[in-house]
Amino acid sequence: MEQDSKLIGIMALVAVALQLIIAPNIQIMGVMPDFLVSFVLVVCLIRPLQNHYVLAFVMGMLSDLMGSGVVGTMALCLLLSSFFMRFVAEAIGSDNPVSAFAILAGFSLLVLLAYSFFLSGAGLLQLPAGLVFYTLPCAVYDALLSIIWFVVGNKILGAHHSGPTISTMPNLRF
Amino acid sequence: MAQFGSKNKGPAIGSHVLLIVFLVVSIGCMSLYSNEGEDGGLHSMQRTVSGLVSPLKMAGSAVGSLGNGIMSSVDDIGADADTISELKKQNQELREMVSNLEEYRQEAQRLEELQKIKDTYSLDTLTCRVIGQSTDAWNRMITLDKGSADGIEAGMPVMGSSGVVGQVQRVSSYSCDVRLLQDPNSGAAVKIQSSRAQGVVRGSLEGLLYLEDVSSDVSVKVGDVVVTSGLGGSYYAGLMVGTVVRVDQGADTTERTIVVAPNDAAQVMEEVMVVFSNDAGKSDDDTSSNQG
Repeated sequence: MEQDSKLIGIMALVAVALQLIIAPNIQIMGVMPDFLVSFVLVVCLIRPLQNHYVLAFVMGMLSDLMGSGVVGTMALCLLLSSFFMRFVAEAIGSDNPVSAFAILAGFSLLVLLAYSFFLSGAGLLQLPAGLVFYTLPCAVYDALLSIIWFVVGNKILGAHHSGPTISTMPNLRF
Repeated sequence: MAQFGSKNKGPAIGSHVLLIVFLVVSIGCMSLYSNEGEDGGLHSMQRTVSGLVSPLKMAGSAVGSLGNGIMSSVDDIGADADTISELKKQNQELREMVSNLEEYRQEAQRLEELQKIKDTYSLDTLTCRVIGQSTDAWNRMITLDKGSADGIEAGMPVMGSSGVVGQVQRVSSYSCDVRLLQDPNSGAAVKIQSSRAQGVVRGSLEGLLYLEDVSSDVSVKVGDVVVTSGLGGSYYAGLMVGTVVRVDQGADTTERTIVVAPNDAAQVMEEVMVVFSNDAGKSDDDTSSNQG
């Protein structure tokens, strides 16, 4: 479990570095992926019950502090998503990659939708145009990114796993 | 399937308490951030973090340049590989020298253009290097390598080689973030140079500049130069913003959509000037005529 926490911590630092260094260079017409959001969602899916609220809160706050939005917004969105993701994963199962990816894609969209509505409430984003130009394309980008995180996360965390998880995850085959 | 809840009630309750605490803290931060001023604790923390991560943003810019170099190298693949390899070996030193000289030449050219702007508008400015771009999709911002230690303050206008590009949004000791005009939350009071009609240029989600609030009886043509009017105090008067590139007239309405071409794209900006003051005063529209 401690080993897992260390690995997740290292991966979180990598996610922050990727967001600062790589993300601005792979934007497409202003649409940029969010390495932090996709990473948190993947960890919440493959490592529930392991302090994932701490991860969601810390990464959300970091995202807010590195950006220009209202501090606390992304943290709130990630906390709520990580909470509900557990129940959705339990209800529909994430035994196979397809359902796991569907959950990740769905929650990528939900996180950004919630974030967009908060931004809109703060007067920082115009709706519904913002949904078309930012939220939906960014959600697609994040969903694709979460697939990569999911594969990498399973490889790394699966090899060192010692704590509770979604029981069928280690049986995934790609 | 996941073993949620039932078997591990202790940790589950603990995690729920943790969740509630974090939710309360998050909402508290949001409320505090919205109500505090620019000098508030959370704003200061955001500025500090922005300053701390600016070296990484600079690394990101370097990665971007490297990527562009790789892309241009890909274009050379079609040539004979042996010939290219031989030539590369023979001329490596020379090429590096030429490359460096070309880099200096281009930099000198860009700085010369900035100097021209500075002289034209009689501006008291500080030339800064662009070291990073916004790291999220929600803002169109750039990061500069100068900060409050060099006298930069929030709200100062920023100019590129052909006119206004944005405004300093927040400042840390050795870097600052500039919100570009193309950002949806940007706006500048402007006037059309030929007709003197007032309006407001706003950024948009799609990255275009829209000229709004122009009286419907004013004729606007493609090619009209748009300059800052100085109203509102955000920008000094007479600085060039861009030129009108499209005017779409509604079929059964007087509403028009006027698109203004921004001066510089964020991806190609390498040096910009932060404007401290405009020595020429407010009646410098003539200078923008020279510029346009």
